[in-house]
Amino acid sequence: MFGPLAVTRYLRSEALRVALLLALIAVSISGSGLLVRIDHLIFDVGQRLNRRAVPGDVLIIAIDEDSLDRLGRWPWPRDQHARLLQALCASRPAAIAVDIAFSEPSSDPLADAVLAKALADCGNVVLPLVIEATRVGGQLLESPPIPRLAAVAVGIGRTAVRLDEDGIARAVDLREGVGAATWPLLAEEALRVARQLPAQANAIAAPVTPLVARHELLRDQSRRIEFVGPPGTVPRLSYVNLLEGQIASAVFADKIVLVGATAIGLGDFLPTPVSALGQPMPGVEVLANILISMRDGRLISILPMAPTLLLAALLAGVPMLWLRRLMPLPGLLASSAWVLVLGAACALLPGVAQLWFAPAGALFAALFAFPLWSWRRLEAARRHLDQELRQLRAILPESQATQAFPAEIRRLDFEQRIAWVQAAQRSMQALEAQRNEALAFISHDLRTPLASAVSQLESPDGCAPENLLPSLRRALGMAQAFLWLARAEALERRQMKELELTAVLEQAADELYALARQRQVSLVRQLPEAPVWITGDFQSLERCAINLLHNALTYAPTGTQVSIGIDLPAAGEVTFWVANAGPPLSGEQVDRLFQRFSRGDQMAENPSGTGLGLYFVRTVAERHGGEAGVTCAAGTVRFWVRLAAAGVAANHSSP
Amino acid sequence: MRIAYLEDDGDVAATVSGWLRAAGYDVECFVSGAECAHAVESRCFDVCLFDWIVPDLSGREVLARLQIKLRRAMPAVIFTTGRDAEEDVVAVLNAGADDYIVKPLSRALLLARLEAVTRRQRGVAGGSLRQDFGRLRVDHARRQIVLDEQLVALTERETDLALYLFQNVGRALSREHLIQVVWSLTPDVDTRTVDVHASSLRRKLRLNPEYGWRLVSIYGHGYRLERESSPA
Repeated sequence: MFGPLAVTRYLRSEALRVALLLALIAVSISGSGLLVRIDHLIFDVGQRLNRRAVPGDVLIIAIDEDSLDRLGRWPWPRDQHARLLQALCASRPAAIAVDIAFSEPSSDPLADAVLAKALADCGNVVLPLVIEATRVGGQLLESPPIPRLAAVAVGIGRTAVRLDEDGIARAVDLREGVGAATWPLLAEEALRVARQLPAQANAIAAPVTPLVARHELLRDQSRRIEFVGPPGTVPRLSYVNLLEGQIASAVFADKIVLVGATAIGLGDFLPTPVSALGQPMPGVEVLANILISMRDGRLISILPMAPTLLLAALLAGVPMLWLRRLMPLPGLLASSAWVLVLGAACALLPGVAQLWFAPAGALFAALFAFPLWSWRRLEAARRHLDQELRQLRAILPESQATQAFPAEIRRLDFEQRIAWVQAAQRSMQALEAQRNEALAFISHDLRTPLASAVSQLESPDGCAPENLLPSLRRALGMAQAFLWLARAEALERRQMKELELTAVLEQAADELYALARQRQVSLVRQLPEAPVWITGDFQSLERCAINLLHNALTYAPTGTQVSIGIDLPAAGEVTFWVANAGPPLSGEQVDRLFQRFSRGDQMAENPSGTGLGLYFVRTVAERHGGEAGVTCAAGTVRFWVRLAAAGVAANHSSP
Repeated sequence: MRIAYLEDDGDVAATVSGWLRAAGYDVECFVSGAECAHAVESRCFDVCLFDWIVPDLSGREVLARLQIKLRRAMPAVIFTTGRDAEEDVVAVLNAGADDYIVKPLSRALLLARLEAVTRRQRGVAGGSLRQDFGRLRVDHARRQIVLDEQLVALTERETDLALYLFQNVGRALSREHLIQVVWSLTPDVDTRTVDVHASSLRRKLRLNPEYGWRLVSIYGHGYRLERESSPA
């Protein structure tokens, strides 16, 4: 059986199954990278929300439009860079990173020499190394500065950042190189020179060099950059202003100075999470962001794949913790809140703990949790409903159901099922009411005459048997009337047979002939000669007529007559009636007559009445799809029962 | 006349067997259905009076068993039952019982039914060519029925039915049985034909209590023509 306990158990195992399914969804989404753009979106939102104070000790010497206007077209002669460096070094900055590729000798060897001397004089300048693919064949080449400059630079590092699938720069690799991931970042080198490299960055493990893949780009220790703000956040000074001595040299003391292009025309721009596509960030500012992140220990670690999948799977199952307990609406709200909280937490996590967890899988699963669980719960509810319906169908008597139960529950839709259960519930209530009536009947109507008989028997002077008879007869009559009524209430149209109504009424009149004689009332039959066919229940219709006749004989004055007859007012309609002479009944009396346990005013004259007779008549009429009533005219009281005729030819004579 | 009486209620059994013995019947009472069945199989009884509900074998089960064992030597069977629902009564009659009496039993009714059943067994009614019921006289040889000195005009089938009913006063006759007897030569007669003819006879022969008769329809299953005890 599918009891309440079974439902609970079923849902518990179901919750586990749904949690597993959610975990599977989360893992497959996370593992396949199908929704990686969602991850990026969340990360970018987090970056934009995460605002930090801009540190003042990192400055950009910008090769901007103004400088290009005043100093001429790019590339500039290298001795000009040498002059800039000399001006910079005079104010003793902590380190200088020049984000200009010197990978080929300049046309003027003297300029290279001047630059080399300036680099050597400064002693704290780091230079970039570019890893680029050749135009043909795609072979990767590391392009360091020319040896002459490389020799005097205190450090050489990469400026490359990693572009994601959507073309946005979010991550850098701490080590990278062709054949072996050995080159550090330019930012790291600048920090090392400035002695500001945090301790944990010093401990960057030496990468293991694989024996194969000699010519592939190897990357190691990917980190995400924490941006301090949109492009332009890091303070910039114009190259030309510095060169022309318009800036006080003290500005640069103990600061890390980055030299690089910000002019649009020079093309070194990257889209970043903090910049819209229309406003990309100059490469040198990205470098400044990397540098600040690294120095402050705020480079964002990326959770590796295995823990990511595990975490995604665990987070996916979380909604099941409350979905099992909550009703649908709170469940929906809680699940929606969970999606928001999870997304927000993952967006803010990099800013708080320098850790990035890609949440798309867990989020997607969280979105699915509510529908999946609702589906399972509806399914469980449906099964329960079906089970209940089946049980109800098994225990409810057919006559109680307003409509027949469907043979195939499977075909019903949900609303129909609910309607069926409601109908069944109404039937149950009706049954309950009947049971209460039966109890009331037994406890009062049946017990009273029996108790009176018993008390007479127990009286010390004894009693004559004929004194007992009235109360015993009354009890028996009550029981019989109640039984008939119960049977009438269970009548079903499809069990009814075709029968001839005049025979039924003749028989009822036969039955009461003796009583009529005893009361000196003549019984007149006004029945048609032609047979009247109806569909009905022989016994209850006969009892109906008997009750009406009995009633009429009881109330008819001595010497008058009681008639029984049939009217055929219209095709398909039959009315049989019983009439007696008597005073007209008031409207109130008429209303009460057909009620249960009611009696006429002459109750005192007729103590043997059960009060069920006319209610029985009404019940039988209604069960036959007809009605019962009474009309009073010209000193005659006429009780009638209207039924549907069987719709067959009335004259059914035969050979 | 030997009667096998199956009844598990001792008080009722004592009362009823008292009535029967007083009426000159030889009664043997049984409390157990199995015992009763065994006795009726082994010894010769003329009538069985069975209660419907008995602890071990019910009256109907005894009836079914006897029908298998005794076949044509089956005694007449009357059921006494507290259940007067149509389906119960019709089921008993269909199972092969000759008649039924609804409890509580009345002495007069029981004796009348027993009389009717045993009369059939003695083959008395069929032997008489003329029956005189006071206002109604039946002449089987001439196939004529006279009511208050007036010859009643009946159709052929009505006459057949009337004569058969008068031969079997007090017996329950199923409609199927009546069709076999009265309409044996006519194919495809439905039960409604019987009802129509019965109604017609009731009217034409005044088969009502005023004239000392009752033509009882047994829930549409069949008919029983009864002599009313107190005619006007």
